[in-house]
Amino acid sequence: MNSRLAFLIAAVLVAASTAAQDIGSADREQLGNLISKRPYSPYAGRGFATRVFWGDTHLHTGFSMDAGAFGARLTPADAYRFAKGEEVTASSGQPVKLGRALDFLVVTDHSDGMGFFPIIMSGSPAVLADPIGRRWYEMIQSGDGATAAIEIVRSFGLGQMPKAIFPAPGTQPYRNAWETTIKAAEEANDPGRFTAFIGYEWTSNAGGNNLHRNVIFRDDASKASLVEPFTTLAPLGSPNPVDLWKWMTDFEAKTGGRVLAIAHNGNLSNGRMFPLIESFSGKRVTREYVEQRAKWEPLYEATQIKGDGEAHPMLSPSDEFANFEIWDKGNLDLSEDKTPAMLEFEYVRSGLRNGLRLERDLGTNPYKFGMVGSTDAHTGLTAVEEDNFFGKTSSAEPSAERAEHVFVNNPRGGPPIMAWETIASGYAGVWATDNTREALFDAMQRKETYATTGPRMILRFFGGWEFEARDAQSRLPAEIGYRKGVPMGGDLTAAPAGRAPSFLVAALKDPVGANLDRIQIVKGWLDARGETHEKVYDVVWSGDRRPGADGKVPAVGNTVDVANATWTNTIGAPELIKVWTDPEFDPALRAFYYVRLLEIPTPRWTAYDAKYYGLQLGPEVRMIQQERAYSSPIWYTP
Amino acid sequence: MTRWRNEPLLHFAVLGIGLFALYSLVSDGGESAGSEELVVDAPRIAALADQFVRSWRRAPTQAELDGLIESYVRDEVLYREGLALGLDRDDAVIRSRVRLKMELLGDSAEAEVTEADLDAWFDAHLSRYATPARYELRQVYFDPARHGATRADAVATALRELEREPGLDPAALGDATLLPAVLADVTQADVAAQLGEELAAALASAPAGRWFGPVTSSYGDHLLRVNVLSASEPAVLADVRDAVERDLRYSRAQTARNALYERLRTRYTVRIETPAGSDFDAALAAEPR
Repeated sequence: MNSRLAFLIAAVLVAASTAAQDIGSADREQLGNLISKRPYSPYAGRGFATRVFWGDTHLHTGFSMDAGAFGARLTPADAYRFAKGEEVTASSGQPVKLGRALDFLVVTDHSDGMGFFPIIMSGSPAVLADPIGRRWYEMIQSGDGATAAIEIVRSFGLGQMPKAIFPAPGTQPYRNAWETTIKAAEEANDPGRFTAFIGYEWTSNAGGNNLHRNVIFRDDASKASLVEPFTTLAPLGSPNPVDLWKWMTDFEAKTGGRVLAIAHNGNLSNGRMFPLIESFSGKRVTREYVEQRAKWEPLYEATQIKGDGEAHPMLSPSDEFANFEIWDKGNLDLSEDKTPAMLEFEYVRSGLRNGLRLERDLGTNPYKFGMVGSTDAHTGLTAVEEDNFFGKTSSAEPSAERAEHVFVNNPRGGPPIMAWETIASGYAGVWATDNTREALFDAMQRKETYATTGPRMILRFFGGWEFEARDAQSRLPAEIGYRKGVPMGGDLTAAPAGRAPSFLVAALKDPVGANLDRIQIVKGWLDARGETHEKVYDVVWSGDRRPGADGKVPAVGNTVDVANATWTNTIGAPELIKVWTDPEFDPALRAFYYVRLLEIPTPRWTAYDAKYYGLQLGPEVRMIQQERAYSSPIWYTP
Repeated sequence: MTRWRNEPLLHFAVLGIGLFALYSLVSDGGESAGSEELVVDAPRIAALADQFVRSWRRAPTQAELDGLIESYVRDEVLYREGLALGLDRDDAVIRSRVRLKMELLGDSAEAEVTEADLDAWFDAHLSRYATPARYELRQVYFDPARHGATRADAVATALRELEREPGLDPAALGDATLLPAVLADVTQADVAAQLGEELAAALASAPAGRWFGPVTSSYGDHLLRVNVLSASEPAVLADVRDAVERDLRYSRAQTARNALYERLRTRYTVRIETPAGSDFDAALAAEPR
């Protein structure tokens, strides 16, 4: 290929700019034409995603009843400003600014009691007339908001919120809170530069078991303001996700708008997040359940402050990286212990596996989700950089004491969840053509996304039948990836006779972050007898390490100086790329493949706290971690 | 010695004596000062009625209004006497409530935004609203792991080739990378997000349209060629009006509270009597920065 043509294609493919609609498969054909015909305009025909946009799909502000009670005073407007890179004053009075601005944000305050806290704070006659309302008002006023918050969350989980003061859809206080939320997103939305989605969290917490979903609107105020968020309290709301999907169906039918939902924290659901036996009916999941879930929930939040949800060491005993920031003491309020039998229905990997089985039985895979990470911070601050972690709640904003606070008390006397166990995680990477609500939403819908535990590494993952080793030497792996295969979130079918699927996988470290340890591909499959399996392959790694007798690449090493909270990029690699072919492929069996990308070890937020405040934290407090990214899977269906 | 100090009965007795003293104070002062005036005027009554309407969504009856007034008088009498006794001091609820009210006072004082305010704010923050410069950037990457000691030579050789033949495909030189070889139309912020701060910083001083370098980033070395597509343009207020108003209001809300505080703070001379040589001092001394 002559150099001018190569340059032309490079310009076409790589340049970041505005573009129109983006549907991956159609654009592959356009691209093929481009290469043979070479249109005059170098910008014509470029349709695939050239840039990853970073954001948080899950952030609470003072409008969320629990966040407010924990001391969050920031509003949705503050939250968007902060995400755009502006300095704000945190609820604890400290100035705070992101190291790097984000590209998008969804403020997702709890739909139940949205705006409840501003109402409690107002000390209105209605609040003071209610004995519980008065009690909370006084607790918050006297500086004991944290205790009030815990009582509020627990009352909510038990369905014992005082009806008289709880803002319900249809009332004026509720309407005001929703209108304010919408207005903040409308004002912050700046197409091409920053996307502010309208959204809310539907917080189903029956029996303290976390079945929460974030609902994201593709549209603007003209559609979102035609409805009020779906809640979990009868008679208007319901804690059953089946009813949320009905609400979403109604919304689209009524307004012509579009919405999607992202579930999170299966690790606190006590076996209910990815069920085979559905918890509300007590019966096997139905065809309707699997179809609706697949339709409305294209993504899952795999990692966030309340623990990482990719894999659990008891489910994946031979995976030496599965034991990462696990929360498995019980459900969300620790009202019920965790049992080993629950784990299978809580984690990403086992959920993806069981999805294959349900697809065989019912014709649709309900757990065919892509992955995002997000914060779930309740501070109005999407601040999960390790050296800039502003905590889960406003009471956990930086202080010398915060690491050793109790985060969730165990009402039954067992071990509590400590604040140091919260993790500074994560963000969502979205491959999109442009930074607009439409382009990002559509990318989420087609699952061209990945989760990270905070750092912004670039991750490309393509699957096809024709990748060959030299594609990894290409100057333009994305161009080859889209031309020969499907991107993350895509599907492979119709295996050519005698071929195994091959994958082009490439990663680039965060420009300000740590080097990379390795890229792994996690495969799950359903065998002919209906049993599911998984295997983790080391695909490409830094340095000249050789796999040991067990087939595993040895650990990369560790340069972390805990006392000074630093590390050096003297180990690892800034960039990794490889074509990998499944060595054990059976064309008759359903399978999925996703990437797990590992950084070299770096200091955990607790190490930055210890350094700044001069602390000696207990020996149980983890100070080092290996941050990571999880790609959306690529599925193979015979 | 310490034992009787912790004795609840003693606490009770002390409290009792205190209450007795208080009572005699109140009964003496209260009865003799029967002349203090407590006026419930028309605006007050209207406010009471209005509050009722907001709670109950209807007007109060005369009997209800009388009840509201009586309740207000009762509040006021006990409130005044309580203040006179200093019962508001060291009460966390009252303190935080009063503080909140003071801060809200500061907020509402700045609510109006005029055309002149917008102009002034806009003029003072012109750079914030300016359209950023747009660049075309090409880069050739050199991976430190692949060159070792010969890296400087490889970079210099490539630079000579590019200088001799500027139309040379940059993607054919240097090492393969996921980093984009060409960014066709980007701002400095875009470059920082995609390639890192080091390359973004190099944009400002780049010689126009000529290959230069190497510039070192966290990935390795880069040769760069930068074309300025459009220079930074000052904004026109009409185009960015909404953003200007939003920023102005936000800034005022943030500063109003502090301004109020600072104004009030000048009325006080604050003396902090930290005990010398205490643990507290040691903790402060240990604090970084």
